[in-house]
Amino acid sequence: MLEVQNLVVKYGAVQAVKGNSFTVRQGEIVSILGANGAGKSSTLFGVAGMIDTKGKFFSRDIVEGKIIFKGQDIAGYSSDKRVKIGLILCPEGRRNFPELTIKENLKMGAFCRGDFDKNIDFVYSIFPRLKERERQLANSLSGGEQQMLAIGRSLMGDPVMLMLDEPSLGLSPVLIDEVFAVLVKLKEKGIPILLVEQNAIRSLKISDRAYILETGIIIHEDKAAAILHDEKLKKAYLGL
Amino acid sequence: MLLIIQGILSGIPAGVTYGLMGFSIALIFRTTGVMNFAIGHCGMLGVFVGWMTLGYTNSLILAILAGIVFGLILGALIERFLMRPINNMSHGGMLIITLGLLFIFTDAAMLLWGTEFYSFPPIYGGAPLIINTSAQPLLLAGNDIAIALVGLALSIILALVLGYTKIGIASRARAQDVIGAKVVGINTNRIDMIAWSVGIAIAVIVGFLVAPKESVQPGMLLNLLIFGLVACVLGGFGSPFGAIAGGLVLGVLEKIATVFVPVDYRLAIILFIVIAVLVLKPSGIFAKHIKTRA
Repeated sequence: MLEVQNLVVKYGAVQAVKGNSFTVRQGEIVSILGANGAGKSSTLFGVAGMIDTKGKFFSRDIVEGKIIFKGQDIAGYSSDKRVKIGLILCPEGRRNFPELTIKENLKMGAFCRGDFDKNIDFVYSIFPRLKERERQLANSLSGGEQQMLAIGRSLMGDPVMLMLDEPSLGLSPVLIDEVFAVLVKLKEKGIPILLVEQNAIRSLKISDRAYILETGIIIHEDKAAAILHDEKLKKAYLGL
Repeated sequence: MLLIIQGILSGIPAGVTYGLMGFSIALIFRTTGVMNFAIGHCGMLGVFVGWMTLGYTNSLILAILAGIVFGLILGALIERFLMRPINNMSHGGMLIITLGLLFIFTDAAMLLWGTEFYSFPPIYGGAPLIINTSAQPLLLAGNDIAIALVGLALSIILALVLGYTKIGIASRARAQDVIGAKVVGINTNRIDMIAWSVGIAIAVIVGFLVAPKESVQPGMLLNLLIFGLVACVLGGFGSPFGAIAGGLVLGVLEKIATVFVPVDYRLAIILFIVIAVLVLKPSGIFAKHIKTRA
C-alpha cells in the first residue's frame, strides 16, 4: 500500500529524518515508536507532503526520497493532491478549526474527497458525543472530544490509508482505550494505519509491525508482538 | 440636533467606504496573516485601469468591470509571485514588503499617468435626496445613496460566501489552523490567492466609489487606507465584518465630530479614538469574547 524509500527531511541544517525506508501493507496497523525528537512527526509530515519546499526564496527545508502509494510515486505531489488520492494524516495536537462548529469541521474533512452525508453517519456512530454537540464551536470541546473530532474529520475523507500522530496525547486512560478501539475497528474495515505514538506498549498491542526510530534513523523493525516481548530492546529504546 | 442627523446621514456612505476598505485589509490579514499596506494603492491602479477603459469605450460599466478584473488579476499575481515565495518569512518582513509595494505602485502610477488629478463620473449622478424639515433641509447626494447600496449589497454577498459556501468555510478554516487545513486537503495556496484577489478587487470597488470625490490620482486612496486600518482596529483585526461595522461607526463619528470641532481636527479625533480603543479594548469593540477550554 505505502512504500517509503530513503526518506530524508531536513529543516535547514537540522536533519530530522535521515534516509529511512518503511512499508505499510493492506490491512495492517504499523507503529513508528521513539522518544521525543526522534523524527516521528517529521516522518509523517514528509509522507503527507506537509513541508512546503517548492519555489521559496529563503527556505532551506528539504524532503527527499521515494514515496510510493497505491503503486504511484507521489513524492512530487502537494499535500492536497495526496489527500485527494486517499492518504490522510490526522496531525499531532488535533489541529481542529476552533471557531468552526463541529459539523463545519467535519464538512471540511470531506473537502476534497468523501461523501459528507454518508460519512457523517459513520463518524457519529463511532463518536456519538460529536453528534450531540454538532452545533457547538470546536473550541468548546474537552481534550478527548477534540481528539475524537480530529479523528472523525480524518475519516470524513474516506481514507485509503490513515496516518495518526500521537492520537493518545493528553487523553485519560479510558479515552485512550476508546480511541485505540476505534483504530482496531478501522483496521477491520480494511483501512491500513500508520501510527506514531509515544505510548509504546498500547500501540504495540494493537499493531502488526513496528519500527523504532532514534535520532532520525530506524534502528529496529519487527513484528509488534516480538518487540513487546524483547525486554532488552524495550529498556534500551522505549524506556520501559 | 438636525446637524447631528445630517452627520449620521452623510456619515453612513463615508463609513461604508471605510468599512469596505477595512474588510479587504482584514480579509487578507485574517486569511494569510499579511498586513497589506499597499491595498489602497492596488485599488488606485485598478481605478486607473478603469479610467483608461472609460476613455476608450465611454462606458462606465465596462470601466468598472475592467478595474475589478484587473484587481483580481493583480491580487493573484502578488500572491503567486511575491507573497508565496516569501511566506516563510516573519510577518514583520512581509509587512515591510507590502509597504515597499505601496511606494512602487505610487511611483509606477506617477510614471504612467503623471500627477494630474483626473475626474471620474459618479456611479449614480442623479439628483440628491432632500428631506425638508422645519428648520433646514437634510441632504444626501445621489452618489452617496449608490455608495451605501453598493456597500450593503457587497456586504451581504460576502457574508453569504464566507459563511455558507464550501470555499468560504475553507478560507475560515485556513485562517484558523493552516496545518489542519492542509491535512484535510485544502489547497492553502489557492485560498490565499483568492483572498488576495478578492481583497484587492474590493479595494478597486472602493476606489470607484470615492473616485468622483477624490479624483483619479496616485494618492487617491491613501486616506482611505488609514481610515480602513482604523476601521479594522475598531472592529477587531481578523474579523472582516467587524471591520465593516467599525467603518460605519468611524464614518458617523467623523461627520458628527466635524459639527462640533473644526474639520482640521478630524484626523486627530479619529486617531484619539483608536488609541482609546487600543487601550480599553484591544480586541476591538465588536470582537466577540470567545471562551476557550484549555
